Amino acid sequence: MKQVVIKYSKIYLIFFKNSVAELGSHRFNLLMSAVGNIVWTFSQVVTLQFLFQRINSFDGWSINDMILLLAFGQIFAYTMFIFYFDNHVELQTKTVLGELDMYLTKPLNLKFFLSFASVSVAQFIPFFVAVLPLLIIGVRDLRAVGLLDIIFCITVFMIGVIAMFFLSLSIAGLNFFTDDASSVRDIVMNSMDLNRIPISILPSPAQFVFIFAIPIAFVTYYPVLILKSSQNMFLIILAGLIVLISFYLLSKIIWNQGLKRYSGAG
Amino acid sequence: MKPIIKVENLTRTFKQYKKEPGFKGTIKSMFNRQFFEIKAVSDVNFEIEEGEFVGFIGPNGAGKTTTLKMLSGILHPTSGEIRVDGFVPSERESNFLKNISLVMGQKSQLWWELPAMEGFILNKEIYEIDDKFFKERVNELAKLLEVGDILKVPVRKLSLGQRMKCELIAALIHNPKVLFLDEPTIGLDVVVQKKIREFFKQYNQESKTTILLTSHYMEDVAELCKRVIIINHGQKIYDGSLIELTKNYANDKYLKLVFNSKVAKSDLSKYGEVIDFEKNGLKGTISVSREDHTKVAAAILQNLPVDDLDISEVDLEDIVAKIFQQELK
Repeated sequence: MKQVVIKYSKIYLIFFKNSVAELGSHRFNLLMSAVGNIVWTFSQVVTLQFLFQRINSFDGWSINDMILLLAFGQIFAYTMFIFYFDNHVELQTKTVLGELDMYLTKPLNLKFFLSFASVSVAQFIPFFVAVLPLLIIGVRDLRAVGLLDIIFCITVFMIGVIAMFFLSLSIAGLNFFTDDASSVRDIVMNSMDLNRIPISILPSPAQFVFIFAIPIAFVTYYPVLILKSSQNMFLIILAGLIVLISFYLLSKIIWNQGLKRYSGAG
Repeated sequence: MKPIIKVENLTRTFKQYKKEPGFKGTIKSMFNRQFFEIKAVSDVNFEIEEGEFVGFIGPNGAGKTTTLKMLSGILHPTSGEIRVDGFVPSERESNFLKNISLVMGQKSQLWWELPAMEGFILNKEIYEIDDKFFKERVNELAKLLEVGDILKVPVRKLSLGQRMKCELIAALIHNPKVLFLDEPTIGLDVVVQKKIREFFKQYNQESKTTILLTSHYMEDVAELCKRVIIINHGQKIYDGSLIELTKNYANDKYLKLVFNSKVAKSDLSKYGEVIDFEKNGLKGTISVSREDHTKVAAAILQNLPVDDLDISEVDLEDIVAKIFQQELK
């Protein structure tokens, strides 16, 4: 087990180094994309400030709570963009064009290889420039938070991140069954806009969707809720683990069946 | 000797759909898509022994690459069984993948923006190769392929030939027991093709690696493989030695002639079928029956102003074309 961890860590380090080395070729484009992301984040803050000039709270959530929610949403989005999003998007082309061939002959976990081979290093810029300040602003007026709350908050967030990773992997695997499954990813991406509002204001069926079908509640709503007020941690973590395991199994089934259908064009 | 590759009743079908041309066809196919199945490989059987260098020949769409992909674990067979070094390829066990390698002339495993060496380092970790062996191996292969000076140049800056040589190093770095080569010389100029052929020949002799080669260039197969498997429409139509293939399918031999003075084509055609004739009347090739070729050669030498005579086997390309034509009939 230890050797496997060492092997995969070394390989990930190579992926990271190679991605940094490749960065040089796309400097201008990446810089502009980073600027765009920073502008977007600050436009969200300005919108919130504008709104909260007229209202005091939004269903019991203050402007700082909302900024914290935005910060968690952005931390998740950048985690996704930095580590696996582009790789999963490119999988569609790779599957259709038969470019998985060379990956399939390597003695390496295929899903690891295809998910992490390229790291979007440039996304670290907006992450540090825009998101960390949001986090700092967001936690200003929080209640006195204990270490346990922070640990639970991070645990729930991590469960959400991993569950969303397996959801993304499952969607990528759909490309084995159809020529283009990108619209399924669009559904998830579009619904992620809702991670900037507390899901408690949504009707019950919508809440169910964002907890169990597209589990963004675990990357934004619940982590902030844990910091905001004391919660039943056990239930949140149990629900999170059920979701995580379900998506892990779903991705496993889709990929096992999908690879049998892979036809490797040419 | 125990076979390292064993293929039994191997079949692979692909599901495809057809669309009528035009706008109407597009609309129709959206609601009522017509699927059909194509048998890319049909009931193929063969065995390959350790250390053999086997050529896998067939026209486009014959099922060569599909077979190779099933042997290397990329594709799952629809039916039939494959064993490579005792493993079922489609299960993609780590110990199986560590012992094979696949080189595809039209696909790359190297990172486009980075030097080839970075790709080799990644493979070093993937195949868990120790530092000492890695350094020795890279040096050895780079020396054999004469690419020592370009390993630190970004792959996109390399010529096609240099790139293919680097692909070969990446594929052989872990010293695989079985090597699958799918059109490794495609698009390369004749000089690089020859160099790569020489490399494969030497590599096979020294390392005793089992090699299965598909190529459209018959020179690759003729120069490297003692045994060939011919496949057409997904079915095996010949499996045997190259010499036997030539004997069985080529009843003729070629007499390639150079004259010291002009000869008429009609004079040459008296001795056999004229395959090639230069307008200036100084060079020509005729095809004569294998049995009579010595007699015919003697007669030509006596009656025509021959400066040089070369008796050769019919080109493998022509033999294979003849087999496919017979198949068609």
